[in-house]
Amino acid sequence: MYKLGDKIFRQKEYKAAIFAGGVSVIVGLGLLIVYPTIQNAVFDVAGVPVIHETVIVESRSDKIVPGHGRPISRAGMRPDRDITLSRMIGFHPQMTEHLFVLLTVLLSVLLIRLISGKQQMMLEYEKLKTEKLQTSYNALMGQINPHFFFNSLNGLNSLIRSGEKEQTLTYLDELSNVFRYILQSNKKEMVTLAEELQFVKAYTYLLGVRYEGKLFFSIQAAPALLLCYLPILSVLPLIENAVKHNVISKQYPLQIDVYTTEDHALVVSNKIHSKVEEEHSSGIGLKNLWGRYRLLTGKDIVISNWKEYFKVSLPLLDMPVKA
Amino acid sequence: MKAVIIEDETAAVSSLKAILVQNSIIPIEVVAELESIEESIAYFREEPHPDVIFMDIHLADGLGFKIFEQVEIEAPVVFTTAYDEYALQAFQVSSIDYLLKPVTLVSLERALSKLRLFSPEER
Repeated sequence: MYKLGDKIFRQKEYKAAIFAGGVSVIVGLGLLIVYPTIQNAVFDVAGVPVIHETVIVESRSDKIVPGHGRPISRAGMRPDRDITLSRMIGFHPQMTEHLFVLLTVLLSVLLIRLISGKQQMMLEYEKLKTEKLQTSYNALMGQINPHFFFNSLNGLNSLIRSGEKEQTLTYLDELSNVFRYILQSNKKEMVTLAEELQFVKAYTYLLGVRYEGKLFFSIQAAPALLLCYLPILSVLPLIENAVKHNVISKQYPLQIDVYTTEDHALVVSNKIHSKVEEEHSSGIGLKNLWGRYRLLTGKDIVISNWKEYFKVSLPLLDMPVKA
Repeated sequence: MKAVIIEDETAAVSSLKAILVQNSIIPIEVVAELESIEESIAYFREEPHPDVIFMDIHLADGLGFKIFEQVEIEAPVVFTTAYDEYALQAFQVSSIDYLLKPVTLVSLERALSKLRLFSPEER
């Protein structure tokens, strides 16, 4: 219906309104003409008896008969058409008009809804477009957040002091990998699970060094699913969230698990141990991710907060295009 | 001079300790390493206060400023952070200086010089 309506109403809305009004009137009139025939047909079928009414017409003669005034003649007249009356339903001619009005109104309402539906669709489309740009921007800006940058460099600082050459070189390597991936993320939209997990490994390595002994990661993936696709940098906000909102200390170390499931999803999960004070969190990270995921894949991420575990499940795609 | 470090990233703690040893302004002895607000509040209620505190603003369980709301701190504080969003707020509490990570020897010595200026009694 909407497609038809859309085609008709490609022109300006007022033209469509006039068109709609015209159509309503024509249809209404048509119904008015057609209605008695239909009514007859319906009553024939229903077996409602036809009552012939004789109309008596009184008319005054024009001639004046002297002595008698104007004679009044009575003539029985059968009307041209039988006025069919239904004893059961009590129909009368006005009903037709009422129906006509009703139908006109209904039609107009329907057509108006079609028009506003189109406008609504246009608005939604523009909104989504802006949202997409906004979330892409946020995703990018969020990932190159200064805290991450400088804290990572600080991690390097301590490694250099420690004199652990091999570990330092590895750290530096992973650090470049992380930055390279993030900076290239605005050119790509979908990546294979293999690529994304490679980034996750690098990123979690850095975090592991910075929070040595207090932050642990496990990354597991079914080999078959490594060639599936998902939006780039989907996992990063989830890990950042976990680190941001949960306590990480020698007393309460944090473990974050990343694994694939049989129903083609990637899950990021951690045991919940919330920080007492929440610094301006408002679920924006998750909301952005949800929006971006939906736009790129047509699928929803699944968030579950159950039995002390916080889990986010990302559905994977077989092809790098929207389902 | 006795110092307490309040910092949740292990790497940052070892970095800071290394520089503290190297500095030539005041000899510093680190008497405690605290990781969280909770731990810090408990510590400052029980233990004698040090001569200086090095505190990271972003801790495991929230912002470092929260410690000051729960307990009276009698020592001057040098804040460390990766990014200076909280410079002004730092001065509302008894902060001597504000160091950006990665902390360098130069910036640390500058902070310690200020410290020596404002607390003439050294132990």
